[in-house]
Amino acid sequence: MIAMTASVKPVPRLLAAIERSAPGLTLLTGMSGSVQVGPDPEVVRLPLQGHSTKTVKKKALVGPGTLVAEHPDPELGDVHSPITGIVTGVTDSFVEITAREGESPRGEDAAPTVFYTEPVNLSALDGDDLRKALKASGISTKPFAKAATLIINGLNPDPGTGIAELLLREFRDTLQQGLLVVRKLVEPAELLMAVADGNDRGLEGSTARVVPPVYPNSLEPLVIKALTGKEKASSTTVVSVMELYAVGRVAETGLPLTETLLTAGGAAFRVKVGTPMAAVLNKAGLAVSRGDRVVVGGPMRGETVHGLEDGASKDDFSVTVVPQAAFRPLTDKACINCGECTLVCPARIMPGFVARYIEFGMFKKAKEFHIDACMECGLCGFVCTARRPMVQLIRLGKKALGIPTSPFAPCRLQGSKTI
Amino acid sequence: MANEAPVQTLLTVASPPHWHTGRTVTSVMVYTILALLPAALTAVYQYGFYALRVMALSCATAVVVEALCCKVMERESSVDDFHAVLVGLLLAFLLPAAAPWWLVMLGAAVSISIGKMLFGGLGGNPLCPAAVGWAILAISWKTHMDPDASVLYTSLINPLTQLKYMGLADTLQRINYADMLLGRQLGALGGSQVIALLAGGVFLMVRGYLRWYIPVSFLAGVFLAAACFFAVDPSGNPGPLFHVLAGNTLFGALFLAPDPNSSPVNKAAMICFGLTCGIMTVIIRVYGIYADGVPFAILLANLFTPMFDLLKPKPFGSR
Repeated sequence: MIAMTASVKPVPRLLAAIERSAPGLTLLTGMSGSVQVGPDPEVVRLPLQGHSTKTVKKKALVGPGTLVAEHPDPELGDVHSPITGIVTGVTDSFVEITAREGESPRGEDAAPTVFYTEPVNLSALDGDDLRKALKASGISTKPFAKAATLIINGLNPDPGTGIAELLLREFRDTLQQGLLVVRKLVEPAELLMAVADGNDRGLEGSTARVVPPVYPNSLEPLVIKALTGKEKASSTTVVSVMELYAVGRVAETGLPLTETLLTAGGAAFRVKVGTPMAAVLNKAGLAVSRGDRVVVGGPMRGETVHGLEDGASKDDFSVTVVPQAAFRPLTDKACINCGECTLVCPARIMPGFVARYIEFGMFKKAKEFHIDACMECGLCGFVCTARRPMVQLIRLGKKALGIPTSPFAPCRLQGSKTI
Repeated sequence: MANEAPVQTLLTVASPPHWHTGRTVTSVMVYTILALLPAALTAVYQYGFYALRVMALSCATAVVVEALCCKVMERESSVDDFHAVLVGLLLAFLLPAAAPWWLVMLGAAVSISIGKMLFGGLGGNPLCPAAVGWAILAISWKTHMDPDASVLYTSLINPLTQLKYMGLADTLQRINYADMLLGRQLGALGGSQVIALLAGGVFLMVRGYLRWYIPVSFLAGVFLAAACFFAVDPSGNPGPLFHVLAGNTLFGALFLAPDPNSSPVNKAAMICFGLTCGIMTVIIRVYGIYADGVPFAILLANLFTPMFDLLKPKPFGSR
């Protein structure tokens, strides 16, 4: 992690013109140390992704675990307040809560409201009741489809984040509890686990297989292929250790999920959902200046936040600051046909050709060149010599052709978080 | 450490990926030019000031012509990516050291204008620009382009013309493989600097700017085809190593054939492309009227690049 951050430091312009400053694509960070307590925010901004039913109004008093917004999809998790406070903003994209400890809603005559959330006992539930209980606890159950084979993806999702290493080292019991619940939903006949470390025997009940920890091997289709040998996998469900941890947390506490673990600047923090990025970066000692990118979800597949006041979401697992100087702007130059993208593409398509067809609006041709096989791993944009906006063009093409974008993105948990 | 980040900090919002290898078009061009420098130095050592004159004139003309073309096409000037310099240098490497000034300038102008800008600039050219310039000169001014006829102040032997007109026995008597490897052979001023070009090519491969697929398959094609001719008639054809070391073979394999725009991008396609270049080189040398057919072989293979690119693997999920 330290080496990663160091290698994306700005390089002098002249040197940058001729020198490759490629950050490695290893999925091992060697991150050590335990989880630190995250910041204690004054204001939280709970991100909503299609949670159209808000259950609170402005100025309402809420406490830890109070339901704030529901998702109409029965398989997508609801949103709960992580703190005691007053709702100070409700929009389509977030609910803002300002902390106000121990204050009553109607002046001083009324007694202070006591918030109490009845814990759920997941171990006593199964089937649809379990799915309902998980949704009500803020967990999306969409990734836990019934399948004959369940695969646990124990690899770090993106280079530069050590989240999976951390969870497997420090929170094995929680993962194990999460696995118990997930197994009840998936009902697999076979349980496999992809691990980066040859010494890791995998979680209890699973057969561990080592997958070389190099990006893009952490992508779901590639994990499935590495473990089952099949590219067209039928009846296979892949869950990440982050998903297992989230379920495990609810199983342990019985309370709605209102926090996430995320890595930032070589350390890991337990962060309340909705904590502004500014506070997280501050805690991690990461400086941000004008024009930098603040990326949640890893540098290859993650999304940039729009402002430092944006709140962390439940499925964020890493925050990376990419200085402006480390990523010079993309260009509209013509493709020079160097073929680097074709050589790195894990989907074995020709991204250069696909992107050129889309550039000129030839979407049918893009389909002939198998745009639908694209996994949006971002490697074509990573290696592009002409610095063309590869992933943007491919997403544009997918949108025009009605192909769902980013099907394997780490933020898939929220279902609708696509471009 | 933890400095207060102002909430108003304006961030860059973009889609992934947020990392890049750092490679740019300019860096590729600069590295390739650097890789050509050893051969340029040995060329100056071999042919003196004449070689330097040809290289400088060719590069300068290429840059000026590209700037003019951009002006005429009403486009932003693209000379700052160093591609014009590279094309000029590659063309100079194919010319004899004694080439007259007008030949050099014409060749560079044609390489850039017809070879590159006519098709829309870098990325559009279907053929290797330097090879296009060379081909037009070689067909139009045969005598001026022939090092045997124009470079008169040297005692070096051109192994390919020697083989074509004097026979195998005489050739092998007058030149050995070590001389050819060290560049002590008469030929194009840079194309015949075999060991220096090899050093440049290895440098590019180590730095990751050159993939092995095309150069290695090119040389394999030359070796295989030459071995076939040698096996059929050892008294009339030299051994396969002769064709690898003679003339522009190594220059073509390392610097002309891998030109990104005009070569295929899939692994299997690149290997077939390289093999085609190599085999065509030997066939032109044995049967053609030109002593060295490397640029012609490359141009021919360039024409088949779209066909080669049909050799692509099935996408993920279809196996």
